[in-house]
Amino acid sequence: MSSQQRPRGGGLPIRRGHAVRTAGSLAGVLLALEAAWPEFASAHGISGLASLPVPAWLFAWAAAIVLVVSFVALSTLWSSPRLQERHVRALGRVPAALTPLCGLIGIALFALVVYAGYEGVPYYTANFDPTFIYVIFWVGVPVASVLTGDSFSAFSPWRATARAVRWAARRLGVTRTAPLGYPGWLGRRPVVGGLLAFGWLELIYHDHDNPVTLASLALAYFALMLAGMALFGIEAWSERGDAFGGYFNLFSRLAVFEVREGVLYLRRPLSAIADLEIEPGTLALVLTIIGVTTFDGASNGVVWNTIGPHVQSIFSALGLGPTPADELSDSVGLLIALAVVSAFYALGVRGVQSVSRRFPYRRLLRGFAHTLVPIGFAYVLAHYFSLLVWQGQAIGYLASNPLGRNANLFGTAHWHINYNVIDSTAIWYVQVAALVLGHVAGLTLAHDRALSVYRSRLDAVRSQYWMLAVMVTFTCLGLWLLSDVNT
Amino acid sequence: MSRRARVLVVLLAGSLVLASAVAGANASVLLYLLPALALAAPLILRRYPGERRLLALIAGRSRPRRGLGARAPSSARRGTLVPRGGLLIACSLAVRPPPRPLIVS
Repeated sequence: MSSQQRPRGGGLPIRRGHAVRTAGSLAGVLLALEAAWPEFASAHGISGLASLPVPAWLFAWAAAIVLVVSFVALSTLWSSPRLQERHVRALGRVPAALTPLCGLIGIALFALVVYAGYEGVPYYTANFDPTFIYVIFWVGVPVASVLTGDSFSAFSPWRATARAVRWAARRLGVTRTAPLGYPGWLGRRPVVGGLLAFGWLELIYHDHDNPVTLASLALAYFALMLAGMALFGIEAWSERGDAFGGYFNLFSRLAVFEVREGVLYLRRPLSAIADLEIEPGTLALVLTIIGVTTFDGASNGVVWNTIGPHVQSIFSALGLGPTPADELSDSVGLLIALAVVSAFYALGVRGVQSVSRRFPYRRLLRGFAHTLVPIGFAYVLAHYFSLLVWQGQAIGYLASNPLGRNANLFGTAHWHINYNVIDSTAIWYVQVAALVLGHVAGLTLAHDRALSVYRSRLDAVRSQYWMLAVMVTFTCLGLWLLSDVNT
Repeated sequence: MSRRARVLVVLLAGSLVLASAVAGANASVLLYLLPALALAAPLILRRYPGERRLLALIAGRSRPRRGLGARAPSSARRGTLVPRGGLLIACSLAVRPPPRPLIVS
């Protein structure tokens, strides 16, 4: 076979030998680096993961192989778009009383958060608020959303309150429509802003565990949501303006269940993600989810713990105290994480665009944005799984003693966290599985979208080479961050 | 991929190496990112490794299905075209057999 061939469809000439030599040279250089610094391979020992049969970095290689095999399987076996249309099957009606009941539970939990914040002890281990907000609400609800669908919309305390007010007003004969229409240019941008603010609070703000601070912020958010719903309408604001509602709703699209107009439906997996309306802010939302989680991993790892103090010293030299300098340096780190994640995706889409000039870059950026949603969830699950499994158990005794004042409401105050419920090796396997499955799902979504976008099969396949590179990069980055945290 | 984008890729890879170097020679990141780099390198050079085989696989999967679909009815119909009776005698005696009748499905 000649070393230079022209592919079908009139593409650029392919020089296979050159490509193989390039990849081989790169691999050779990197392996030589490893040989020159043998600590590369040994310095990343994962505490508690010593029982792994192979070095942790080999998991990244194995994950990449899984993705390549998935790419080949999708290319050959998945020949027509299957997710671009909705396929649902009605399972039955949801009891009418269920939504108000869930709303009541949501309002009660919110009231408990506020009460415990102001009246409880100011210690984050003994007070109900930090564990409930940072573990159950922030990590548990996304997992529940992926399993059961958009359940948060039923439990949302601000939405339930607004609906209760509307119901009461109608009973009194007062009917009122929202004075303003939700501005289209705003899209999901409020959700992005809210998530960034919450991420900053959790990861950077020095007093983030203070129950009084958390209760005050919860009350302020509640008031903001009620004002938004009063201005723009309950449903419009809940879907676009509520940061948590929008965040959980995005992940709930990964679920196979959905409730519409009181009917429970079973839908084809991933079809609701392919159906995602790419409004202003949607791409920023998924990149923010991945970026914030990336920073969370990096900030606990070796890299940022080495670079961070240097950045902090710059702010200290400007006359800032240690706490503001630390918060500012971490803010810079968060921005860097967001920029790196965005750059990976942008470069991948640039590559997709290079396949065929028919589609503008911005359109492709938006067209493949939904493929990042399962990756976002995979990052969240992988990074917070141990927190959910271990620290989540604390809610058992905190429920009985929410104020930390020796109460025992449900007889569970003596419970404690059992760290043997799962060992760190098993957690590592769960993290790897979550990342691989999330990226295979992303690859599937990208492949299905490419089939519906490109007329030429060659272009569709080539575009997916780039998306494969994006997925492999995110997988490897995620695994490195996890191992770096555990070093 | 434009030249600007290629420069961006190189800068990104360089910054990663630099970051790991700054981070106390914790260059294990290179081992983790090696598969991604190995995959991205030929793509940046506009090479798509294995593309030809992949397209052959796709074509191979679609071709037999079409072939089977075309063969199946024709073999069924061929049975109805076997000359019988007078036609059989005519066909056997003729120097040139009569044209085959058109199949109207």
